[in-house]
Amino acid sequence: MSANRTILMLPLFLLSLAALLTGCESQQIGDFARDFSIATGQDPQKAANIGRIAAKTVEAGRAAFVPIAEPEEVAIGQSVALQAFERFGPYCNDPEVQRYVNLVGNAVAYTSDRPKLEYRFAVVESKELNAFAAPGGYIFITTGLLRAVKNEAELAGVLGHEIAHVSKKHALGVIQRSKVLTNLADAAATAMKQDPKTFAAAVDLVNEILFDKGLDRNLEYEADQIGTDFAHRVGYQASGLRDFCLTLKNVPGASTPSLLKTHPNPADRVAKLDGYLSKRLRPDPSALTLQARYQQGTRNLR
Amino acid sequence: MNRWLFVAALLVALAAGDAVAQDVVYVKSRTAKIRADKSASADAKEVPAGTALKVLSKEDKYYQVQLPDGSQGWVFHVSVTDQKPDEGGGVLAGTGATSGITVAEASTSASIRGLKPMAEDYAKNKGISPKSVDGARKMEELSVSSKDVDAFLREGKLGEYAEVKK
Repeated sequence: MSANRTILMLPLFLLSLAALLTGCESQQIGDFARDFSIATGQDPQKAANIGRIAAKTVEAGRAAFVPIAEPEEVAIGQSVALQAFERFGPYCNDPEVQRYVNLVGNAVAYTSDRPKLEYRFAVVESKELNAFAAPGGYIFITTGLLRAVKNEAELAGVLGHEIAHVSKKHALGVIQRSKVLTNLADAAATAMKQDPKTFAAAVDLVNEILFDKGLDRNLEYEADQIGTDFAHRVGYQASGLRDFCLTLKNVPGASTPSLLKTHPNPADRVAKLDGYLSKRLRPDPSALTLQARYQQGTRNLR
Repeated sequence: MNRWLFVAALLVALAAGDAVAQDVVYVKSRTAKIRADKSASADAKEVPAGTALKVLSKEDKYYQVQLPDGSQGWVFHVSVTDQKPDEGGGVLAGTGATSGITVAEASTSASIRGLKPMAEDYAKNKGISPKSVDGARKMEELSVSSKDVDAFLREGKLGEYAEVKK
């Protein structure tokens, strides 16, 4: 019983420690150990040890955070772009669709929380339905996905989701908190450009996240909501991303292997977006889908 | 009693903070149009990102603002934010960290960027195919200007060009 209580109390205890971490004194650890011991029935000495370990763990996590400036973020994004073409397919040789996707993407990006970054969008030749974003504003969308999208509002929602990953620095945050940069944190003078191995390790970590492991599922749901907001702010129908997720739910899994591997189940995304839309965004009959312009912009893909 | 005083002080402080936040807004997009009237068809002049605008009133989706030179006009609400430039809630905010990767290079404001040397090296070291390198270069070269995006919004009746609901 007391072990169960310990497990229940531990997250709370760690959170409290994290909150107090600035200059965490041994006195504070002692106080927490006493409270923890009373709350859980643990031996006070054992509780103090848990406290010390927890404080060290949180401190170690904090020390591993290495800020990455925008020029390096862009260089990482460019390098991930190289791998994106390598893995998914070549740059689509249709200037019309490339320009169209860049216009929709930039229209959405201007309303984002990081509007000054220069976003680049590329259509990639691939039958797979997928879209992904690398740090620095590099966003990719496959011809397979564009063929499944019905209108510009859906495209704006999909791109909004990717822009949200960039503006919230989701993938970049993983690198900044990872161990691959720990050596640099201790050597301020060592810039990443003078250390190609560390740079390559950072890029490979992003590749692993984007192409294999995926981000934390909660970050995907967050990007769904924020991306929906971005597209809606431009004036598109707010259900664009939700409607496209419904399409995803109904396509054969064989067309979306990478997307399913790295994202939550489309049915769950639809359900969460339905909840979000009903609570946060009022239906707006004047909001646009711009289906005809979408058909025109992507006509060479048909 | 002291507790109530503290709560009252906190409420006053919060209210004051809110008022300050609403008094001034900053241009969020790369440029924002300041119009003579709250209509997308009104005459406009452009002001750059980060410009502080004093809010005089808010009507529909427009703020009536005063520019630093004293002139007045209307700006579409999406083009501005109440957060001061570079004070956003990014992952770097509040870390206080100054060590690590910080490079005093020019910002990436140029509209056409080539591949950075780090990315060129990465391509060489990882044996990236010439076709993929070409794709990444083409991705860099295709840049749409804020004027192009503005024309695109106007054509689609989006953003500030949205038709007013009746």
